[in-house]
Amino acid sequence: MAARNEAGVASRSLRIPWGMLAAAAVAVGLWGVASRLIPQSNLYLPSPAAVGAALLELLAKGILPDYVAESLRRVILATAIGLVIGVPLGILIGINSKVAECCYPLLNFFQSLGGIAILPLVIVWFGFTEKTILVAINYTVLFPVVFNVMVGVRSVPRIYVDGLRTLGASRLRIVRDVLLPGALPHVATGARLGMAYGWRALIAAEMLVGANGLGFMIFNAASFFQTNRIVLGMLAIGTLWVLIDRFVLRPIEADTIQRWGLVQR
Amino acid sequence: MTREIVAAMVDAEAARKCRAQALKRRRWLAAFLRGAAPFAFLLVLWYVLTARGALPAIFLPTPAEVARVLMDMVGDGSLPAHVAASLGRVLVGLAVSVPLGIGLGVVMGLSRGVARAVEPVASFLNSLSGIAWLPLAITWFGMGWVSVTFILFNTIFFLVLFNTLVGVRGVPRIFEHGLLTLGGRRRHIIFQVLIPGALPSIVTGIRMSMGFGWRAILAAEMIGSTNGLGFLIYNGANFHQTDTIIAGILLIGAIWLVTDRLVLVPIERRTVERWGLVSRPS
Amino acid sequence: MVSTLLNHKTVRFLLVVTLLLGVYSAYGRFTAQWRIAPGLQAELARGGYADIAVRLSFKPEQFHINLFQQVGTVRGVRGDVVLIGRVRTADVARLARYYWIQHIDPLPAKPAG
Repeated sequence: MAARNEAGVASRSLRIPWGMLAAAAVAVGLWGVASRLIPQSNLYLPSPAAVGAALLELLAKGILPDYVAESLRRVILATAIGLVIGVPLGILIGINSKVAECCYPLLNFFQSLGGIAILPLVIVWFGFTEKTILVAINYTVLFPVVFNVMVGVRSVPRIYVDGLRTLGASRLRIVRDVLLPGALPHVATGARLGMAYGWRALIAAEMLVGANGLGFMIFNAASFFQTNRIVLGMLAIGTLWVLIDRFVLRPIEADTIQRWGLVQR
Repeated sequence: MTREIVAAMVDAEAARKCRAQALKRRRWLAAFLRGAAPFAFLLVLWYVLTARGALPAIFLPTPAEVARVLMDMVGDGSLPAHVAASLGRVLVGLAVSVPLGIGLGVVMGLSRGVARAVEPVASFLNSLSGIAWLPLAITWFGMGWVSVTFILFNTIFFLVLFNTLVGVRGVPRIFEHGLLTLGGRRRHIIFQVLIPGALPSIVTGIRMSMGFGWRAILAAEMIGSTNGLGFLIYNGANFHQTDTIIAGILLIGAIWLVTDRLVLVPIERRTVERWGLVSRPS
Repeated sequence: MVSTLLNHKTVRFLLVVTLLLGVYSAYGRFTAQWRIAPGLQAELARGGYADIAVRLSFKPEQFHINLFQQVGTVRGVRGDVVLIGRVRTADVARLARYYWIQHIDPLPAKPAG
């Protein structure tokens, strides 16, 4: 539903989604009513007002900005490292079809494990430290990136590679001018998937190992029966992801597909 | 004379089929070996790295030690118990959330009003990872299998809901109208047009949610439970039992491989073959 | 070229985020000078270490204690005030930038009570 201007670039004027706001308002209203009806609502279902109070309190005490910054820093760093390592690795694996076929099940296996299954091993290696969290999240982000880049490189039709080769291009040029652009949509998809898995794994890792961050915050709040903080943390986690996904990851992915996409999605 | 010719042709045909089957089997074997080769290579690498105590056992135990731990745990019944606990929770989660997700998805697909009211909230809750519900679940239900299964319920329900919605919306209206002209009622439309039409999407949703759910359940068991595979490996970390951890990790990977490749993918493929109307979203 | 860029969702989002972060950081830095007591400022100018009393507008939670322990030795908590010993002057300046700290005063040189 984006209007396209003459240059063909998707643009959007500021349209307030009234329908969505109305639905959200109704949901919050129902929530308030429900919490009024439940006994001991502070423990089981804090009212929207209580959660709002928690928001103001945690902002005033400087806790929420710090934890949000920590969680974001970790996931962004992991995604950056994942891209820096994963894109070259994916290209290397994808160039040679024999190697790619060989590595496909292996990558699939390690990707399906996920950072959380690896976490106990990393804890034994590095202890309950920041390094452990970063290693686990990097692992989680890396495999979707490598996987998708490999698939992307393999999906570039051979005719482009061959065409460039008949013009006498070196291997490096083929990579730079054909494979890399052709795989870019898949790089964007890999980054989005990797970050999605990574964000989820991060919350879990912060609960288990962390001393700060949003995952730690909601887990810690449960020990102190501060359910309004738990709900606030959950809302923050969801909102942050919605913002990142809608405003950064998906638009970039759509753009790369539009510009370099060979296959119709 | 013709009978001999026909018999010869039948023989030739049978021989051709036999050869084709043998070729297919050989190709399958070749593909399997190619796929298994890197695993075998890793196994060899692992063996070499840990031979003669080159690495401390806490860091990376030998394959033999891991195998021994696996045997021991199977022997004393603890491993089957953990596996059963985890898989049991998955099955319970599936049994509860899939029908509910499909139900609500169909309702939302049928009624624009309901869809507009519910979709924003459901979409937000969908992007909230299952594990983020854990502290709240523990507050409500305490530690134990209820909290863990609740996480799974969340993960599966919302994904199935949205995939059902997409599937229902993707069924061409002409099928609905066709049924109506034949005198069908609402429930005929739902059960004979919409749900079958949405099945490929639903099954994809189930498969995706299994992927997410399996990870979420591992994390949930680590934090909030005293049995299950997640608990097994996290507990191992607390006691520095690296061999238990690696055994657990390998088992987790193997179970997922088997479930996905041998159960979910074929089901998905059959569903698309049987009911696929529109191209599947990737 | 710039206008096409500005029309892009992601660019606008990132600009807004950068702006908010900038305001946040600038506010912290700008108001830092009023958070440090004059006597303490003189002591800071000399460099080295200082013992400080950090006054908050709320009772400190574990989060704050952890944070303070990273810059010095937390000697005690008196209501809304946290006493920290042996804080480097650079760290005092860094603490002053936090918007949730009300005031930083020098600790009188007395044995911990």
